[in-house]
Amino acid sequence: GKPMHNVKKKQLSVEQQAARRQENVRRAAHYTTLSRAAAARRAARLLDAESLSSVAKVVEINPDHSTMWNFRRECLQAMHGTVVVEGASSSDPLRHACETEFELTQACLMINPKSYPVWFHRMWVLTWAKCDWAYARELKLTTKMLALDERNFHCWTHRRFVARASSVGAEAELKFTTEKIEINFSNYSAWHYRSKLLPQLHATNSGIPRTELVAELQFLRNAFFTSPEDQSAWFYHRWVLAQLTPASRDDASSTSNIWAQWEEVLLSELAMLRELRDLEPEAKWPLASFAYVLKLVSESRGCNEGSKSGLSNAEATELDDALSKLQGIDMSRANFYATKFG
Amino acid sequence: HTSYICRVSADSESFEFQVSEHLRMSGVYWGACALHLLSQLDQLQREQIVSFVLSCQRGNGGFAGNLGHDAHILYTLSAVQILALFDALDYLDESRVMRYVASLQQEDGAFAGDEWGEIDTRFTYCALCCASLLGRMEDINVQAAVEFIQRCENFDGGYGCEPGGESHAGQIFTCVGALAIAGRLDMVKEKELAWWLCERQTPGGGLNGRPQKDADVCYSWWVLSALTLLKRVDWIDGSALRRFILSCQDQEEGGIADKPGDVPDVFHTFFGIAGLSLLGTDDVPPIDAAHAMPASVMRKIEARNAERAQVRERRGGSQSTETQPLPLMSFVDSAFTTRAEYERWAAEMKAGGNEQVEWWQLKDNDLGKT
Repeated sequence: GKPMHNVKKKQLSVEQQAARRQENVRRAAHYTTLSRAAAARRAARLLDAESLSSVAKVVEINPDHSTMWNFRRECLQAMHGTVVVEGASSSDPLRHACETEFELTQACLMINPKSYPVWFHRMWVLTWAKCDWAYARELKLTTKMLALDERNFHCWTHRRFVARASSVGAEAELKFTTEKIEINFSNYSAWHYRSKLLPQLHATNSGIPRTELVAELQFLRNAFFTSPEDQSAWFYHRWVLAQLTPASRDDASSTSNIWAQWEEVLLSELAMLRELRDLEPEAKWPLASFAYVLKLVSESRGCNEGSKSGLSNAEATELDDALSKLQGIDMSRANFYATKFG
Repeated sequence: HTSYICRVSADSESFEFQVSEHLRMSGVYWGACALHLLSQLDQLQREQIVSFVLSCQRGNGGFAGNLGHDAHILYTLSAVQILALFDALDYLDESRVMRYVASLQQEDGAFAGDEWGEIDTRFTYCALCCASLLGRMEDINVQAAVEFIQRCENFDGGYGCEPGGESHAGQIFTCVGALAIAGRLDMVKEKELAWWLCERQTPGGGLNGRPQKDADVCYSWWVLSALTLLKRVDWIDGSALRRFILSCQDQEEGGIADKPGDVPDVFHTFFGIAGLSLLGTDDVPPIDAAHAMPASVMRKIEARNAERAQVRERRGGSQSTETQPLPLMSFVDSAFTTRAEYERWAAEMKAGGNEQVEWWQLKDNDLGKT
């Protein structure tokens, strides 16, 4: 796992401590021998198969040793060329070399799935050797690894790289995020990716169509009613509302129509949030979002010519009650609630 | 904590020491900065450390994480920070260092970590912080760097490693810190981001790095420094955080761990103390939130940079004026243990430059381009 994290302190007897220390020093000496051997080959500029083997022994223990990966890349370039003209056919030694790199990096990732130099090396090999033949498999690898840890941002980054390099479209990736979210509504990484894919999908239009955003609100409702305590969807909710805000849209419709539509959306959300609030009065997220949307309603009324600006007395009381309640159930953020959303 | 840091820093026989060899430069910075905040910097051997730092400089001007390792922007920043802590910046040929840093900037404003081309907003931070500490902001394209950071902004007001990357408190610190150094905090979605950051506080009082993750002492720095720069530290419960940090101390051995009951390390010891500094508690002196350096050191640096700027102006304001390179350390003064290693290093420093291919240039898929 990640170095220096989650190492439990154990209570050991003096004898146990001495034994553990002895083992620790032995492991250190073993590693140092391997590291020095590889460093010596580098200093002697030996860029060959034996050096690759020497480096592998080091990075299997210490995958974060980026200089060793640099040395590895120098060996590969010396053996197969700095610039690869064409992606290798299956009989080519270059292809065999790439497979070795994929095996090694995968082994390292099993030990430490969050090592920057390992992920970078894998991406470097794919680009340097023009591994078009490998991208379908790479996508599957990221799917598999995300099933193990859906929040591994290195893996998501690699997936984006693979998708771009092999022209996997935003539509397909959006479907992938839907699947991830349906398995677990609390998948912040998937919601985040969605926030990138929707604009990408509609880059040539004048932004994300209103119908799509309203569909997102419906999708979010499923999350809210299934697991209201899962926070990810609530963050995404705010973004969807921000995209629907008249101030951020290029819609062709008339001004009064936009604002009336917007207030309609907000009031619909408000009704849903009231329902949730009443179902789960001690739940922070429905209440915090309820207060937030009420504030949006207040601001929007100020802009809509037809309506009164601000909140009715009943609504204002609801907002104050919500903020007071939040200061009690979400004490860490008492000061934040006191600012009435900054 | 002082004795913990000194003991661990000297325990070269341990496995943990050996497998952290690649980041030794950063390890020295964490230890030295923590000791400085504890007013115990004199527990370290200044000459030995300065010698180690300078012996890690490579021909291309960058600094490596350890002797014989390759230069990288991460360790270049750590090296500059260490020298600043020890008031030893005069040993640096800052033009040489900045030439390396500037060489890593890409067309889109991003910074690579080294000549192999990995892109990450951490490296943008390293570049800007380095330039700021050396008083050489004009050597890099700050505007382009800011534009790249902007492209890394996310739906929640946070920032990721690269465009499209998920928001993470570590990356948020690097981006907000870089923007602060660039004087462009106006680019930040302050309210949204500050709210996202204050939502990092967990019921136990500690801070996590992103939604649904565990609290970890190092986020006492990444989150708190960003909130400090956004002037909203009061949006979290400071006393609850303080209790959490203090509960992560190892009462027997000293040092601070990532979570209560875990084994401590120098990284978490530093960031725990730095967090307390930002909270203004426990008599820890102030730390600069953008540069992660004691405020007292920053004052000296600012004075130094102002003076040097005046000197350059008097000379005619040209950055490209070729000043005499500083003399190389002798073998005896260096950190090298064999003459052969020293000679190799000295030859490289005299020659300058780096013959490794700039891989990032290959991304253009331009056949025949070397």
